[in-house]
Amino acid sequence: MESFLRLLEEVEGRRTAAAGRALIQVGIGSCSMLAGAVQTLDAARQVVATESIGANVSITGCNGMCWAEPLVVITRPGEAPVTYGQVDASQVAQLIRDVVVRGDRRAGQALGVEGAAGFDGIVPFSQQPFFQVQRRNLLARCGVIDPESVDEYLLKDGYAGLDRALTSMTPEDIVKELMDANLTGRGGANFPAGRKWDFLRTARATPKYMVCNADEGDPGAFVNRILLESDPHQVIEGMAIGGYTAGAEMGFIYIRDEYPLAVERARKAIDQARQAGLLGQHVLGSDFNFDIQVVRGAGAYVCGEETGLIASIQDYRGMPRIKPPFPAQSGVFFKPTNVNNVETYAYAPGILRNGVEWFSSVGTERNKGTKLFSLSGRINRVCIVEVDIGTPMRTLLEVCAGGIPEGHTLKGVQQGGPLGGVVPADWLDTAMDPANFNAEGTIMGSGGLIFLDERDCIVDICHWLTTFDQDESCGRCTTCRIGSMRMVDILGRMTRGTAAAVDLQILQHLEGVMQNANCVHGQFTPKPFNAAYKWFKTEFDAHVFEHRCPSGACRAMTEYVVDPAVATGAAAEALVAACPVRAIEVRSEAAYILDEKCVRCGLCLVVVPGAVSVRSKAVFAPAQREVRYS
Amino acid sequence: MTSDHLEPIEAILRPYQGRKGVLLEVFHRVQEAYGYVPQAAMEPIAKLLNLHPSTVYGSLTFYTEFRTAPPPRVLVGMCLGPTCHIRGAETVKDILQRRLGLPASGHNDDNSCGIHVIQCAGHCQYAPLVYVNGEARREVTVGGAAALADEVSAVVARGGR
Ligand SMILES: Cc1cc2nc3c(=O)[nH]c(=O)nc-3n(C[C@H](O)[C@H](O)[C@H](O)COP(=O)(O)O)c2cc1C
Ligand code: SF4
Ligand code: SF4
Ligand code: FES
Repeated sequence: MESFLRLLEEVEGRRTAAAGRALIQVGIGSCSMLAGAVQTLDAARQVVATESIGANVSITGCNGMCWAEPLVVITRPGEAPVTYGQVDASQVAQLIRDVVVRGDRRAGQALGVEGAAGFDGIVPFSQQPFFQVQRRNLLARCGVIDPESVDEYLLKDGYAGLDRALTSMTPEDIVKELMDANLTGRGGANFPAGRKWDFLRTARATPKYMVCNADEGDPGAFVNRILLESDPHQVIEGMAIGGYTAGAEMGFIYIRDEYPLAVERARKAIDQARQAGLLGQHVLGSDFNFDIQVVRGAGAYVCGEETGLIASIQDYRGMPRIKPPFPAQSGVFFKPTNVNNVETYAYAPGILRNGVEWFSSVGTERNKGTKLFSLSGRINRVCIVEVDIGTPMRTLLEVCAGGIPEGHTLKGVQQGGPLGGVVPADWLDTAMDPANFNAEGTIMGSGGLIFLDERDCIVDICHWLTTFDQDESCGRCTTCRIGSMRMVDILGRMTRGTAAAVDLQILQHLEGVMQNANCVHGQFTPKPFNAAYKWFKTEFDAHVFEHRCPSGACRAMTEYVVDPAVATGAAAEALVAACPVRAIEVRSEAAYILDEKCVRCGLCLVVVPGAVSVRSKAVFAPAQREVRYS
Repeated sequence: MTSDHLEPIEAILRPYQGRKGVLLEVFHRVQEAYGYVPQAAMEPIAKLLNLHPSTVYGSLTFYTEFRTAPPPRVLVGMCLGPTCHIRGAETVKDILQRRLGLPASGHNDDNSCGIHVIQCAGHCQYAPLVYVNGEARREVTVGGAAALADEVSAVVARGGR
């Protein structure tokens, strides 16, 4: 307690020294960097320095509005922070001159302002639907504080949960609080975190390890990334609380290599926490010692499975193994280990700080709290949001993602990652609660939702997902290694129109076989097909029995043909020039498409109206024999 | 590889000597320095970390991000993640491959250019996403693929710069 108060006093002192000036923050996250945010930051620093503008320039993280980057937040002394969107390097100098020097709000480019009241025509975020439907328990500081400054985290209630744990709670108290709150794992399996921590606490062997799973391999899921990039201390604090609870003195954060900024920020945060006495020997002056090491992954999806992750940390091939023994019995270096997702750890500080009610007063009967979702696919705005568990999917699509592009209709949603599936459009009013997905034999997953419209083919998506699974099989079990190959082979033939009725039976049969695989990766590989087949049977049937792809997405089943009466002379020349792979030639004065060269890009369709059309390709159709396969 | 080539590897390894749970980090550091993890590095790594060389090699070859041979001088990284996929990334890849004369996977014969498929890192706002020697190209649709291929050809002709 005293150590913590002293630390806060020091931080407070440093802050008052910097007060009284305008603050310009540029959002630097890996996604905004692609939008040119680093150049915006450089330009902002330059104009402030060369024109001696009375302002501090610093960075912040990402607030989830991926579509509006680069974001710049300007806080004039004594006023609320205003966020501006799509500020590229060429615009930021004028923005700073206008807002900071001349006092012109530039309301037109403002996305919103923090707090309850707006001003000068700028609507506060709290009155905008995108934020109104959210409850930002975990994202509270994302896009607000500098993620590279432990001071800023401390000034926003940071490490108060750890302080409370160390000064006034026993490990049993913490377990009880997490159990009362009913915090469940956010990585996909929804196991109660309090129970898991208690397993580790009561394990007898030492040393014990806390592992944070930041492998986030599900394509289209990027919710762990925002937490590590924009508020890394929250995760570190959660791991330290876990370490105190379970009696672990060492932690590992396993971060996928695709997230270099998350690696950098986590390492920086760990260093700063050590310097401030929040990690290391005698954390906050107590008897508790805890330190964390970052491990960079290297592009293996199965390393997200906890036993694969453990093998990977201890220098072996990242292959999952049979459980039991569970990690709490034998984990990293064969010692008791706890594995939780980033989001799960991130929740611990808030629950200790704000109480059980704060967490469990929202959500559904079975699953409490909020959940982060990353929305992508055929939507207007790619974004990361945090909503109460139980929020209808429709809210996420229509309010957060801005709906499906004009003129298109939703077909389904790919959920649960490559081991999940595709749910149909009529699920829009279903509550986002893991229980609702489990009831239908699939999973809600770790937060990635990919929206699909009528242009997308479910068979093709299934083939894509299963190919991913097959690629990522570690190869230990024959059932998984060969079973997934069989599935990819069959689904591939479906997308080419050369599958037969028996193939559907084989796929269904394979699900049973693959239950014999060692780990969930192999056991769940048939899930995407099974879930999709349940809801999109007609689409599979069209591929298998009619050898056609209703959406036109399966390229092998379409054919581009020229109308020789139209495509002559200049029109033919234009077509030849338009084809990126030289698949169009002039033959007998008319354009002609060489089918084996054509990649079906569709560019020739719009060159000369009516000259080229797409049709279903006649494929070799295997005999539709009735074969019983069992 | 001669012994003086190994000098820098020893320098990279020194901070990790005798430690457990650092093998992936060692591979990353070696690959950052060399562009790949050379065969000649197996023995020194095994010795310094007290691991069997087969453990070291087994781990190395498990991970798709580690290369055991020098990368092509121009490396085209392509995301084929879900959003990139539905927005036409596979067709873009076909166009790049054909225009650049590349095989279906890996690199061309003189190792001047190759395509490497990368995982979705959640930058789907900019799908389809292509990297040319690490530099991102956003929203490379089928319409823009030919122009990108020609640009890459020019980089290849300049020897990768
Ligand atoms: C193939 C496979 C991949 C997984 N990938 C991840 C992942 O990337 N991140 C994650 O947190 N959990 C992943 N999991 C789940 C983990 O095994 C484990 O259940 C989870 O990390 C536990 O944390 P939680 O209880 O906080 O959810 C994966 C599981 C499987 C079978
Ligand atoms: S089920 Fe697949 S991924 Fe899991 S251990 Fe077996 S082969 Fe490896
Ligand atoms: S669809 Fe594309 S590849 Fe095929 S002929 Fe037309 S332009 Fe050429
Ligand atoms: S699918 Fe390519 S960046 Fe996400």
